[in-house]
Amino acid sequence: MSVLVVLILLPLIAAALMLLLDAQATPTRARWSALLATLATVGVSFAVASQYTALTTDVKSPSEKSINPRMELRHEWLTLAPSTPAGTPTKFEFYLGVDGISVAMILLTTVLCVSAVLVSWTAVTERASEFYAALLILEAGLLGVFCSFDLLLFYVFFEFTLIPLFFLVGIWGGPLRKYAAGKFFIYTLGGSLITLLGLVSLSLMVHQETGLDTPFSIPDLAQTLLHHRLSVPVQTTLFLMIAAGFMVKVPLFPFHTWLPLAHVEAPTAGSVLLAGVLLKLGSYGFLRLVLPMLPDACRVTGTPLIATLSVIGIIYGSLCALSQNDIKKLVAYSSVAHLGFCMLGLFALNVEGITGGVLQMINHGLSTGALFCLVGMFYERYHTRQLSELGGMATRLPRLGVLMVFTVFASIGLPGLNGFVGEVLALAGMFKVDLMYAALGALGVVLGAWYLLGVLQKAFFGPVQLPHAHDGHDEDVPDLNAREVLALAPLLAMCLYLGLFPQALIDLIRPDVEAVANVYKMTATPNTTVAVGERQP
Amino acid sequence: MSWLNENVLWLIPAAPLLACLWIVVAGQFFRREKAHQPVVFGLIVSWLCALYLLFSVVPGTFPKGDHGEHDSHAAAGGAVTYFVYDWFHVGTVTEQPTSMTHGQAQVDGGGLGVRVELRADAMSSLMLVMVTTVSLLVAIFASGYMHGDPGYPRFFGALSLFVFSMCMLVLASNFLLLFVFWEAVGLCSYLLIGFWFHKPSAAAAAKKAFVVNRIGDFGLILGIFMIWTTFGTLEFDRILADPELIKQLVLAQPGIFTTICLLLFIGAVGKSAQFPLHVWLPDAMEGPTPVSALIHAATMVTAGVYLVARCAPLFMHSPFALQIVAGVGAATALIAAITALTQNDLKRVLAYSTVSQLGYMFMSLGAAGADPEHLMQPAVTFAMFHMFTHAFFKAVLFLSAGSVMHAMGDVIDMRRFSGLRKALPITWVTFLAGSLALAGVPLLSGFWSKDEILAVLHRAAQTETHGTYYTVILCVALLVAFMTAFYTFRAYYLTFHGPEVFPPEAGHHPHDASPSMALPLYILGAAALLIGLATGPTHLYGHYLHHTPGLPVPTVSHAAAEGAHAAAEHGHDWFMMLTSSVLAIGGIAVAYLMYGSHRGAAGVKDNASPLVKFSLNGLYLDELYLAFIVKPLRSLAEVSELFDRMVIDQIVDGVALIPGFVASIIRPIQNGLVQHYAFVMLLGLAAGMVWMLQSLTGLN
Amino acid sequence: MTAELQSQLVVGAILFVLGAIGFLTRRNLILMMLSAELMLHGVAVNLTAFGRYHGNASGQVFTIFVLTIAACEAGLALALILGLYQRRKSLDVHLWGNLGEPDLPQMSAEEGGRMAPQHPADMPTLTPAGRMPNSPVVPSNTKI
Repeated sequence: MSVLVVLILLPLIAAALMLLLDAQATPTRARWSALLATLATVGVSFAVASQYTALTTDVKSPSEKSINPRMELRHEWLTLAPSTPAGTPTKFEFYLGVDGISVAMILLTTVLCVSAVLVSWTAVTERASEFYAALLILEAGLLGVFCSFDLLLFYVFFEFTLIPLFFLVGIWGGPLRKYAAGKFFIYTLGGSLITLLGLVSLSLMVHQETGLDTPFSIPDLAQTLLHHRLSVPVQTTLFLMIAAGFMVKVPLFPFHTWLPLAHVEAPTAGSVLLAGVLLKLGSYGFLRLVLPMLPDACRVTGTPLIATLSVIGIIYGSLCALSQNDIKKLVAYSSVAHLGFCMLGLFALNVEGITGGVLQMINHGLSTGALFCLVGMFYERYHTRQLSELGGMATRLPRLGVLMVFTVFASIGLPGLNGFVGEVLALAGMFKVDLMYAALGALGVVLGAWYLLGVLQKAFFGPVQLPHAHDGHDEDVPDLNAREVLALAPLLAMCLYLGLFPQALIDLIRPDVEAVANVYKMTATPNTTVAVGERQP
Repeated sequence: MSWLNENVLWLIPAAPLLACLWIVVAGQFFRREKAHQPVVFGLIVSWLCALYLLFSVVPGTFPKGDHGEHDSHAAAGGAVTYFVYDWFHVGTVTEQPTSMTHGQAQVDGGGLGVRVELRADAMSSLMLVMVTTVSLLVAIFASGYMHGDPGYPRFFGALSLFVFSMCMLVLASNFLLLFVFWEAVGLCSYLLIGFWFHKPSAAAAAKKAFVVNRIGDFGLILGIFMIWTTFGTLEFDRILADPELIKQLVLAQPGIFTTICLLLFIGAVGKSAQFPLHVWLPDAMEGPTPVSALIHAATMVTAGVYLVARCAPLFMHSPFALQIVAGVGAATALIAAITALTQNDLKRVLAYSTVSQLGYMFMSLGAAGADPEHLMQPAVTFAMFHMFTHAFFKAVLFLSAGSVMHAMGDVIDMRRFSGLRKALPITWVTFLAGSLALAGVPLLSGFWSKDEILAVLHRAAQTETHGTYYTVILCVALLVAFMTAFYTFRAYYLTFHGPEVFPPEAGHHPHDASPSMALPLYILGAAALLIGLATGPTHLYGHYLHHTPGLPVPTVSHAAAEGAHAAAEHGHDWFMMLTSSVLAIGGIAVAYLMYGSHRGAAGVKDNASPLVKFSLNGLYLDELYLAFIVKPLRSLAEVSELFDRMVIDQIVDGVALIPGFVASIIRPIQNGLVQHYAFVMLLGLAAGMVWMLQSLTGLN
Repeated sequence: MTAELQSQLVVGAILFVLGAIGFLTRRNLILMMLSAELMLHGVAVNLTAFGRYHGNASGQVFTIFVLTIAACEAGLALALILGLYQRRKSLDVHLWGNLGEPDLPQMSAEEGGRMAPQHPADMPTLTPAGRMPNSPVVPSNTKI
């Protein structure tokens, strides 16, 4: 059995076992089982990574194809007979594989899941068994998305992740959890349905026009579209349809309003995975499906549209973050801004930009994941996240303070920590394409420093000010314990490592990023089927 | 010696880095009281290495020992490099010099790559010596000054991290690496300004410093991107050391160099606290005084000057940018000097004086705008030289102020003490030495460097093209020279003369500097007095600096010009010398007349005149920014937040209401009564049948 | 079409319409079931009439099927009705509005539709058609 199947099934089976055999488990037993399961998944993901690197050591030059999955596992599971006797059959496949980008995302997912389990250790005591099962199911779904190379399989996993997160937010969330869960679910689902429509019509169109018998296989589809380019209006329509769901998921301005709400109401583990991995599904979707398949639309419509929305998102998200009183909401808005950088890089459509975008995906997962962990730990102690009620926490909880300062600096892109390289590459890539977008985006870096350092200044520095509920009996609030430090340590260590040695990650993703960027070099000549006038954005 | 030649470069930053790591890993937990030891040791290593580098990087200038034959890895053009590792590279980074097609550097093939590589030439060696010397002395001073503070190891950890970052900034071999450490010194500055983070003012000042610096960094990074898209590389060696390439690019894209230079200059404005971004520096005095001396006077804030001097080959081609540099420098010098006139806080006087002196350096750099061909080299030389002397005399002034603060129980308001001459003799002597040097009293350090700047401005003012503009700047410079002497000595007289008054915080017997604090004070005081004389009129500094590869060499058109040039370069501008001496002594005299025999606190009672208030509040610039930038931005943030909740989210919820609305119309059918369902079914059936019959009859 | 067939079809249609009206207007579950049976038999008359008209047996075969099914269905339906009765102690169909939208007004609210009978009876009683009686017509202990 392929290691990829193991990777996806392991958390799923663990969850099933927890639910079926041990539904009445004590919280202790549930959390230990979940920890074991996530750690085992980390182990499997390392195995995937090492197998992958062993496979690709000899590959140096970008290949002709725009998407090159390795460790493929293809099974036909349905073949539709051709509608006309002369036509080709339509094959649906179960198609797993990984490339460099997905390996990076898989590692991020498995590591974040361990942290998610660790931060929920004492925070979740009610229905613990079900909580951890939902977490594991979510992990399986996320891993499935990153391993899928079949459109339908991809879409199924993409939507599947909503279900466990819906329950995580709706059952273990804050006071407005039901509203938040419903809104998040329906909003993203609504967007994704348009995406599904776009994906299916793209496949069918390619199937009818070129007779491709596997129109749902992502690499085959991309390969065909590279040589058989659709006309620009068709591409643009498909682009807008497919982008709809991903834009909500990323989220780009103005489709972001579900995010702050969902973050504020979600339990810490939910926030960590939501910010850390789930949002990346949107940008990953753009990178995997939109960029290689619809090059002309990306160039003509995508860059101006997405870059404009990203820049607005960066500045607007930063401004919204600036006026927040709730730390968690502030971090949520900062996600909007950070993902703006990511999208800005991806839609630069060159190697620098796309590399920067992918790095930003990983980096944002690490640093914002860590930030949400820290906010959760903080909330567990003082039961408030209001900046106005807090002060001098670095004096009161020095360890938390130090880690917070570190994470904040990672998040605002201090060189030497992870955020910087991604931001610089994304902005540099965009700078090559359009100076104004890059300049406005860079403005967000200034605002980022302002609001995040504002959190430090208000809540962590200054004289000690405790929430009203804790007046006078504060001595029993302990600093971070070993378990909490362990939850953060891998994230922060990776922040530092990727800041100092980003080349390791860049080398991992390079062949695949270059392959995508190569599409834009190859298609740089105008599409012959299009009149000149139509190419004006 | 051979080993040293190859490894001296990395030892300079590595020693403080190791000290920092030691403190982070172990120093916090044991031997907390001795946390300064590894740092001082590391800094001694750095300092020795920097000195060694100074004598080895430019062979031929100085008599060299037996190591001459090992300079094999000295790169062409007098730079030494040490490759550490490849930080990252994306795309195909070409190693060959940029190819030219159609007069434009070929960028498309070139990716973005950054190598962590140390590169030293004459300019960086001089900077390194200055940085390590001052750091070492400040660290020794701090070991006494910070004694007993609960954050003692944290202080030294951040301090050594700063020295590491600063050395790396100076040693960076490409623009992006420079940017990395440009931000890293900003981080250290943040950590050290906010060292006493439980004070709200310190926390606010730290944030302000970082955010204002980020505004500068915003310009710098865009400038770097533009250099990258123009040159296709970020390596100093390939951009700055190749005048031919630059000339070709200037011909191809004339406007772009002005843009690049102005963007780079925005970075310099932020880091070097120039108008309009200077507002963070006075607030930064919330940090411990040794930090103010090291970071906010001697080293970090001079990074902007270093950047512009380093990029002189680019600035050469944009006289307009240089004129902006000069104008901003002049405005800053004037504004800061006016503000310094009335400050009551001793450290703030020195802070504004730092801003003002940095403005001086930029004036000097900008002077080249009148005639870049001939004036670039002296302009850069004198700016760097002023930076060099300024580091020493400003450090001693700050450390003396720190010593006063230490003795006065952390009181730094000059209205609350006076006549400290007797109580603090060591501090008095060293402060006086620093003041004399800063005021520009003849033959002391400040005199030589300031005089050279005035001389180069004088030459700029004599050019035909931009003479008037530079005459104005020269006048500003002279005025600032006078004001500098005045406010320095105002502070001196208020602090050390007059009746002996101590604040209650000081206790009964204020104690003077302890030996560990006195030693750096003496050394720096001596340097403040003598280093200018030793290196200025002898041209040791200038000639050494001229070995910097890429630094423009004045082109000589004909013999007559050569004579004039030689005279101007090697001779002295006696007229300017005389003027500046008179101004300096005049300033001191006025200060003496006004404050020399003041009667303690009464001498500086709150003067309500609007002019004084105007000066005291720094021309109300902070208030202006608050009212016109910060508050509107905050309001905009509030509006955005409201807009998000009230408009965007409401639209989303509104869209979500549509299905509900449609449902509310057809819902009543679903009332749960079997008969209603049956009735509807029957109706449906009837309708179906009618339709079927109709279509059947239609067929017929 | 012969007159014979026509009159037979009219009988079937009358039976069907009667059944339909009964089903739509009765509130008693048993009566509703009887009405449904009536509709079924209206159809059955149609089938036999057409069978005779075409001169083959398939119409009658169908009718036999319908009768058989109707018998099974009656057994099942009565069992279900009995089950429903055990729950609510009444045969009023308006008590079973569970499929309706919860926030809509009850159609039979003015007659106290959802109220359980005052005197629960052990066995089903036939209530008069259409209206809820004020008191049970048959004493509660009477068996039918």
